[in-house]
Amino acid sequence: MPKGEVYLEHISKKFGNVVAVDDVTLKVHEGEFFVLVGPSGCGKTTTLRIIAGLEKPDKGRVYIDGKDVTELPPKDRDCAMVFQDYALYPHMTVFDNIAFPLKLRKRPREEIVKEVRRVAELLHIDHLLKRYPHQLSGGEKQRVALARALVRQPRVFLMDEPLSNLDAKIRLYLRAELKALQRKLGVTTIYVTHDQAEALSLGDRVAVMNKGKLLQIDTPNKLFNDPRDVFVASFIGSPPTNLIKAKLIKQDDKIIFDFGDFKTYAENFIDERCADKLIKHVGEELILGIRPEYIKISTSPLKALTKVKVLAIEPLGSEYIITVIRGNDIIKIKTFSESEIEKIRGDEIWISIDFSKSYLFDTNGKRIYCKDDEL
Amino acid sequence: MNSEKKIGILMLIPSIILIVFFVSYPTVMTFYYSLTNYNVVKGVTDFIGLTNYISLITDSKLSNSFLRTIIFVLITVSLSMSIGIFMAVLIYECQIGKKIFTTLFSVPLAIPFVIIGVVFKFMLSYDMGIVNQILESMGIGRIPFYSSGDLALLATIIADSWWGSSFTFLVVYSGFESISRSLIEAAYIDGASTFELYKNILLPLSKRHVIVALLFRIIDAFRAFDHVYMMTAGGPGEATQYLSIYVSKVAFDYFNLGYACALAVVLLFAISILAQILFKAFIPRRTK
Repeated sequence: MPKGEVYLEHISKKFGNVVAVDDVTLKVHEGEFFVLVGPSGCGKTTTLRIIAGLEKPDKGRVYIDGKDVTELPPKDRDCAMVFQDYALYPHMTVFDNIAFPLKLRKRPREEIVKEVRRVAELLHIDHLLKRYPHQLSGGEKQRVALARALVRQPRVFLMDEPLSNLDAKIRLYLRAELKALQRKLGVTTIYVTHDQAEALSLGDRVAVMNKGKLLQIDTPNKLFNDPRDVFVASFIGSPPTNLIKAKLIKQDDKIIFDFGDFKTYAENFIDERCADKLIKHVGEELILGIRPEYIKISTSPLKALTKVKVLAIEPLGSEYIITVIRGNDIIKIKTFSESEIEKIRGDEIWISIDFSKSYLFDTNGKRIYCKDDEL
Repeated sequence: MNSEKKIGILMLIPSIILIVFFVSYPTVMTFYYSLTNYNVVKGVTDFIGLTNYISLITDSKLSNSFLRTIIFVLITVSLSMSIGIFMAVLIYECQIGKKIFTTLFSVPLAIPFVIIGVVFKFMLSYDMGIVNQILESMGIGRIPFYSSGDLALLATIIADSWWGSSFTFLVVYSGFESISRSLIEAAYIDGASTFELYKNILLPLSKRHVIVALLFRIIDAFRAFDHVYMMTAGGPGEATQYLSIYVSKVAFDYFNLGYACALAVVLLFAISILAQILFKAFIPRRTK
């Protein structure tokens, strides 16, 4: 059984003047479901293509199972890849598409038939083998593409947004199936997506990229609850973390956050020990990140921090998303309480923030950790 | 009739006029003259029925010309198809300068056949041709291209396949370019070598382009006239007197226009039927 451990060492890649991948180092463990996520143009697909051997990095090395494969062509890397547009060969039947990698490896005919049948049954497409790609639905095409990748039992399985061309319902269905399949087969899988929900739901570990840089690699839970970077906070979660600017000032020996329309003592929401760390940021404009579920709404000014204007209330079945505007900032609030929504009259409400659940980022977007155990 | 339709018809009138005057009228007149003994020098135009067509059957110059045409077509088409496809592969594999090479290799298509004929005539000339100068300096010696029938045939084939290769190149290359990049990448990842990629993916997928290039090459080679006429004028003897040249000779050297028109009509039908057969045989009715 192939192992499939991938190690990227200081990979950089430029296209003309555009830096696509900027000094990325990461290790994907054997049998892991590893997801690269980020907005379009963040370098995630380029990173995947560098692993596949479709692009050559300007700098850095690629190792698969400890072997330096940087100079090897794709066919000698033993990686299989699934493309966003499926890339099925239109002039071949489903059977021939799946059999193609085995034919190229000159496997005996009986073995090819047996293997194609095996993966076709695994992916529930054994009734489609005689059809041509143009006779298949999107979901079926994607299954064929998966089958073609699986049939030769590759060391590493690479997927470039394989679900993004499918409609929402099939996408969710195939997503779960893909995860189950990966568990069952235990093949190292590197999966690229721009959809943070897909990333969190599939990945054993998720790497967030932006502008060619790798910002954070963590388990989905850690990524959600402990973002190291302001971009990660603003990218992960639906709706993502609200970012509110606040100036840190010192007044009567107390450190105070000045939000413009209201001020609050730093110790109100941050461990006392944190004060020392914050002192060096006095005078700077920091960013406070707060998840939509940790903002409380209220219909009266009592015990609230600030008044905001309601733009929209979206019922999503079990929860509500309230979009409000404060100055120039749009803030998203998530609530599960129907009674709170019903109390809203007019378009003015008051909000309060659960500061103990908030994150602080410095002017460069790096997280300021306050509690020692977080360091 | 609504105004949009009226404007549409109005727009078509100029091209209809052109087609009627320069295509339909001459075609009809050619057919008419083929039934006469029209001769400019003798100044006669008598209706003689199918006499011209009957003499075609026993015309030994025609059968010889037909044979030389077939040889010419077979060689120039296979040569230009192989070279054109080979160039398409080379340029497609080229990492840099694709645009420059594509432009350079398309230049022959912009040159009139008459000019191609003149240029090749001089290039292959025994005394001052650059080809013979190079051959001599390499120690091979000069080749008298225009003094032997077979060498003259070769000379016209060289000129014609020079143009034909760049035609094939452009059509097949555009076929390659129309194939989605991810199919090629998928094939590489599936483990294909470059040879297997062309054999299994690129050539099968540009099959239609290859066939179209082939059809046009066959038809164009059958009609070859300008450059051949400039180079050899059908000579030496009748060695390169292909069908179209034979027709023009009958018309303008022997002034036997009636007979030339009969030849032209037969050639027209022959090429049309050939084209129909080729299109029917090679172009699949509908493939996705």
